[in-house]
Amino acid sequence: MKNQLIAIALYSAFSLALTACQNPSTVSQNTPNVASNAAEAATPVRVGSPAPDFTATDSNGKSHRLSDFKGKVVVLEWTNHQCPFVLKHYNSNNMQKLQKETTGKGVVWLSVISSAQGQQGYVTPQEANQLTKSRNASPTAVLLDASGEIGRLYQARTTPHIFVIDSSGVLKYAGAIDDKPSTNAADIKSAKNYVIPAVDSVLKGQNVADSTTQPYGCSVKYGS
Amino acid sequence: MHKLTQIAIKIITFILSFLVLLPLTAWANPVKTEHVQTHLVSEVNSIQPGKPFWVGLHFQIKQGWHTYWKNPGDSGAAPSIAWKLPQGFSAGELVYPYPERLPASGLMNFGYKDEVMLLSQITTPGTVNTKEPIQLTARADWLVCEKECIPENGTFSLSLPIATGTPTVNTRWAKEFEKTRATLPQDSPWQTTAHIQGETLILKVNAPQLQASQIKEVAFFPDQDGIINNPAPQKASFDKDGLTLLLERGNRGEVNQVTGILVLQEVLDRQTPTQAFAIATQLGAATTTQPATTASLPLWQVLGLALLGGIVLNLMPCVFPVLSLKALNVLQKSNFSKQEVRQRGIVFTAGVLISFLFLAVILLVLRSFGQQIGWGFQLQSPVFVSLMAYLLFAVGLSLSGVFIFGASLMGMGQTLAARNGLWGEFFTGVFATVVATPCTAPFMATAIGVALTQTPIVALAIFLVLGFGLALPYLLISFLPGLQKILPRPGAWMETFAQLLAFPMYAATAWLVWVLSQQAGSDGVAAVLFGLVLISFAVWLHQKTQIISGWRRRFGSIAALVVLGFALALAQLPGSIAPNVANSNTQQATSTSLNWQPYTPERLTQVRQSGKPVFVNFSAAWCITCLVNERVALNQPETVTAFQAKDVALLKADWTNRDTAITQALAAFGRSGVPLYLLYPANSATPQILPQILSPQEVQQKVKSL
Repeated sequence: MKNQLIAIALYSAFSLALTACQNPSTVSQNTPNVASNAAEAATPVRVGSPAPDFTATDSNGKSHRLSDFKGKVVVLEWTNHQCPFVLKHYNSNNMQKLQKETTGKGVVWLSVISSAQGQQGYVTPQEANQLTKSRNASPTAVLLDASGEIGRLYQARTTPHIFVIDSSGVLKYAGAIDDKPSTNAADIKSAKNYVIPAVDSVLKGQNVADSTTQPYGCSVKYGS
Repeated sequence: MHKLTQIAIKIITFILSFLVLLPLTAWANPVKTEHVQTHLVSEVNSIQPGKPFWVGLHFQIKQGWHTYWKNPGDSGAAPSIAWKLPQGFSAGELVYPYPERLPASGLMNFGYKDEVMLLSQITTPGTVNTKEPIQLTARADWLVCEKECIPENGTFSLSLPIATGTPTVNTRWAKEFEKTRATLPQDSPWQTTAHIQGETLILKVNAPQLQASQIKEVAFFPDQDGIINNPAPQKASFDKDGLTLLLERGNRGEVNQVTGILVLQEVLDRQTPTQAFAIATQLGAATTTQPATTASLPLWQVLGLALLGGIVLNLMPCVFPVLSLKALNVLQKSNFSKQEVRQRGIVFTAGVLISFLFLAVILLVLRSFGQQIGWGFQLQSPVFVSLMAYLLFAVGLSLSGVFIFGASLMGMGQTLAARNGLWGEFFTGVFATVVATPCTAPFMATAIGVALTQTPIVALAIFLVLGFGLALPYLLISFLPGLQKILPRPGAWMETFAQLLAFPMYAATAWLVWVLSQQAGSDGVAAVLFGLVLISFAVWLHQKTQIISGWRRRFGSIAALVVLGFALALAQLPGSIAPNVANSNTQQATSTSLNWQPYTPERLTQVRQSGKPVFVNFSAAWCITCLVNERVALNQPETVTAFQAKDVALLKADWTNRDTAITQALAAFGRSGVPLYLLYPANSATPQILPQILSPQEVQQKVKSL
């Protein structure tokens, strides 16, 4: 048995030299360890491909599956109530207006909180409901994603980060809320909003003009 | 007046003066916020009408915090500046130094730590109708983050007098401007192409003179979001065509062009300077890098070769005994019906094919992880060549009977394969594949090499055909039992055949050592030959200690592994020895107006005796810093003029091919590498040594003071 083990060790040493020898002229980068979340290695979520399905629990303890909303247009909004970029859109009532206008057209609006426990923006279900009430917000539901699973699935990077999914479950828009990456609420007036045109195009069954934009905001506070 | 009252009045005036000054602090320069101290500064002390000049926005950032590049990466925001300028003045876009990668819990940002200066060029009108100093006012907004982000801003005012003469330089900030200019991206001196292959964006930089051993780090920063997956590792490799960078694609579906900056950190003998180059390229059509060995083989030929290879595998001494014994076993048992024999042949084939499929999938998975485990196209990597030489040599030794390769593995497989019934048949197929692997490395190399550069579908096809080739003879026998009579019987001839086969292996080893001599010179050859000695010692140790019992055997096996480790370490050596390839014709096509003469020690002596000052430029084609110095500092019109004014003789010592005389000259100044810049004043024995990273001002000043 020992004999066999040694033989295997030797054999694997050779096979290693044979196959897995790193290209020696490779310069490895000091990249962060992203092995902890396999979603990183997955294909990026692209506009035009099916939006990945997920199941999540909302602030009222109710479970939602994305595919349950087939037949409806869905907006995903990543949020963190302590982030200055999010505050810009909530304190100016801009986000609430977008929620009202879209849900009024029968769109499902899901606010997603991916802040890990102990990180900025983490909330308990009660706190989430309290926030909705105090800010007079009207999302269809607030999804609590402290594990960061949904965030990583969608590669949500910032708060806010907006995704619009059409009624057949295809991602139609991914990116920023508007084109003025600042924390200054005065910029909202002159900014070009991306969400409403995206939702309107999707409702008409058309393609979105600016379908992929660079999201801006604080980084999503994933647990490491 | 009472003393106390005096003090009170003093205190009150002090406080009052503060209150009066307070609103002005918003316009102050610098603006101090909680995390950043920011200055808006001019490079010059006065404005000359009609002459543009540069201003800088300098951030001194609190420890642990960072600000952002123009593409902030996964989150954050780039700084912005809004100018209020008098009539006729305008400000250019912000110019950014190269950033660094800033990881944050699975995301990646691009930005700056500690300090950074962003530049902007102010254009001035030809005539200015005022004697008053010009007020330049700007509001800057920036985001500064540690984990959390704080938006900050400041309003700055700069007051500069108008003066008709050439303005004097703002000495307080001159160093900062100089430092910043050294970190601005240069135009790339190399052709760059980009293409997409599946989920990979491949950037190829046509710079064959670059050498892996010279480059410590490579990073690409895209101007646009969604071009690359920011946190994903970036894999750089160097070959005869230059630098290849494998990047994971981002979420943008349509990519038509790739613009950004390439940051290279170079290893010199004294320091590791970083250079950044701006890159802009249209996306080319997907092309596959073909290994040199199979440069233009059409697919059917590759598959044909794979089939042939698979058939030849049957003759390999590790496979043949197993299979023929098995075949004889099956066929001699006449109690099997034809039907059953065929069935067994098919099941065996399935076993082989599934094992090959498994191998292929493992390879593809590894490849998709960016582990470029390659063959053919890596034959220009000295380390790889050494490892191949080791391997072929070891296979040769095994064939010569010095040691038994994977004997116990065979034993394990044999027990499985020996099971009767269809499962036994299936495992024979698996087993045949397993035992074939060590014997077939050289044969499979080409197939794997091709497979690795193809789409997954083609790669799978190649492997399956290879497997089918291996299974084919047995399959044929099971369908045509008559064939069996013409097959050779296993016997003593097998040993002889195996021993004979060892010689092609040794020959291949010899050929690889010759290849290495071309790449890494005699030192590389010495390293690999010594490695071969270690390999034979390791296998002898292993074999010798197999027959003794207890701790000695364990010790022997461990010692064998240690020796093997040494041999593998030796293989790394040729990689660090620079190839001795003449590529002096790969000089950069930069429009130089400097008239360089080739350096020789005699020439230097001769010129110095003639009483001229001399500037000696020790450089090499593969030295990025040398290249940048020439473009940024030496080939500047002002520098050229300065050299001409002092009638300086210019000598260039091109060390691209490691010239002995130049090596000695470098050593005389305690250097083991380029760049080295020497400025000999006329009639002086000792030269001035300039720094390895040149600034135009410094060179000009040194030359002017000759």
